[in-house]
Amino acid sequence: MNSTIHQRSIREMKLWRVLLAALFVALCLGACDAAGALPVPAATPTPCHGNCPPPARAAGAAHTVRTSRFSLLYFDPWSVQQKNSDGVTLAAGTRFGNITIIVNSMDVAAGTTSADLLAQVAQQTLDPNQYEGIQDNGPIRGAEIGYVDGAGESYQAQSLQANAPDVPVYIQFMASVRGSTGITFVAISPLDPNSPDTSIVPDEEYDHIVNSVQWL
Amino acid sequence: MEWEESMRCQSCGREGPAGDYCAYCGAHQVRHTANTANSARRAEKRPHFFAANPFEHLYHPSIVSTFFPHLSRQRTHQMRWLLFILALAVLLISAGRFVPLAILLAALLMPVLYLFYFFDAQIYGNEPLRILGATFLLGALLGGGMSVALYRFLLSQYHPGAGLNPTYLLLTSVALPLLAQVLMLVGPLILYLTRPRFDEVLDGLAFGAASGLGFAATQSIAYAWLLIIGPFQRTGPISTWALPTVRIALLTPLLDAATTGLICAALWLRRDPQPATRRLGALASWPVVLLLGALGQIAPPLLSSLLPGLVMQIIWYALTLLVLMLLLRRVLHIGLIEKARPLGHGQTLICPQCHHEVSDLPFCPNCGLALLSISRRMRRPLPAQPAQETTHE
Ligand SMILES: [Zn+2]
Ligand SMILES: [Zn+2]
Repeated sequence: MNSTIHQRSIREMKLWRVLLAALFVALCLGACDAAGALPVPAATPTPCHGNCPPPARAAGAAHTVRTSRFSLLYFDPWSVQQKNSDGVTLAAGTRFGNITIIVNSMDVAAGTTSADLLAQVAQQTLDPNQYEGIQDNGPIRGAEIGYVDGAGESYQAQSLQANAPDVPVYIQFMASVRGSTGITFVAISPLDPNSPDTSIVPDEEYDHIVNSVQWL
Repeated sequence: MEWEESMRCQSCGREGPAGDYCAYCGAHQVRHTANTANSARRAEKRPHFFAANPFEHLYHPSIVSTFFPHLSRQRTHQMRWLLFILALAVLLISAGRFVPLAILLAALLMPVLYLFYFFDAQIYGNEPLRILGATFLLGALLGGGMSVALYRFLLSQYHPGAGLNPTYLLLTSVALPLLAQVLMLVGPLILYLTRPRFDEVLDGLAFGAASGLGFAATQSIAYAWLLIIGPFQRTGPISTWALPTVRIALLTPLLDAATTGLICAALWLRRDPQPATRRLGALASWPVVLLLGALGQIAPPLLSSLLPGLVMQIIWYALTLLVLMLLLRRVLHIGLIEKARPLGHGQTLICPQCHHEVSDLPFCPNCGLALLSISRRMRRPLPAQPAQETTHE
């Protein structure tokens, strides 16, 4: 009687040791993996003063996309998510998630300034139900779309989802008006636009895309 | 057995010690005077007197007496204050926008209270580390593991500013909550298979809740990773940081504890070898509780995506938690009444709710407490001698 209880408890002890060992191994693997699985953003770099590296440009193929009022050029990490006659949505993946760029065009009433258009698109995009803690980071100096001077504003917010990772979002708006046509540019990125990822520097990509816009 | 005064129960007909409740079936005797079938059923089911805490209604939405039912009345009070003070402290820290600190403390709030309960109520018999390892630690490990493993994948699927994406919605609001629920059940199921001596409905609840709390803590930390490694103090409106902190500190962990605790309570209720006095009902069958647990996991994130906003998110989580808590209380009440049994030592003990000396019968005749809800620490019999002296007088 006693010996069977004894044997049983030994068997249980062995089972527990195996379970604990498996847990320990899983924990170690998890810890090793965690460093790679959870990304750590690099610090925002200080501006380069001299002997600067050339701007990184993905050596991908160029693609042209055309809508009724403009055309633009994009390179390979970017792809078209949505397109209609008014505008196009581009996306590119980074270690921190996807960057979305929305370029849209519309007819504007006479007298509409690029600042008016900017305020309009910012109000439409900055939905407080989607982004928390929206913070104005100030105007974007030298904002232009397709070499047409405009207005720009930069924002920062948090996307706090119920059952998914919390993501910081950096939102850049630009708007330009030429005649009766207006074009708006919205970039939504989980990366600080100044802080380089291994694959992408958002600010340079944005410059590239707005500079490639051809007003039709 | 002999009592100073005895009475015959109007519900089960057994002779027991005099009191407001039958010590055998727990039926409330005072309410039993009107002799209709309806009032008899009410006296037996006694919805006004929760079996684990007769000073509360069965549907009293109390966090402490639902998730920590082994606590005595005094301890329940202390735990309530502790929970209030700690939650307030976390809220104040988040109102100061010290975001990383607020998130870490919020994630650890319920686990710390649970550990206090675990050791105070001696839920583990004589093997605390194994029980804790199989429930709380395994839950924490699986919660952290799942969240870390899927972190990059989730980021890659999320397109900020691109509107509601059905694939992403199904992933985060249906698939992941279901996977999480399965993982939270792993630890308790190991105990179900290897520790048959823990056969009480409240053991099931304790193991399920522990696993859920461990899981929620590490999952919350992993999901808030970029906020934790970010600036120590943030800017922006206070509500931006205070409301998610409330969710991380109270709603998410209690929701996970409620769904897993509900499923496990029903499983353990079925395993309890004591024959039930009446039918246990649909709520104690495992397909029903599995469905309810799954719905409880899916509803808050799904509703938060469809009707978004920080305040709405809090409302969806709180409403789901409330419904699950009331269902959980019902399962515990049914279990403690229909599968009532004495503690087994056959001596007298002090009822921790009303402090009367009671015999080792299924219920306290004075306050109606189901004795199986007494923590293992408080179940000890009184020393025999003083009791004998009083009976001779
Ligand atoms: Zn009775
Ligand atoms: Zn009592």
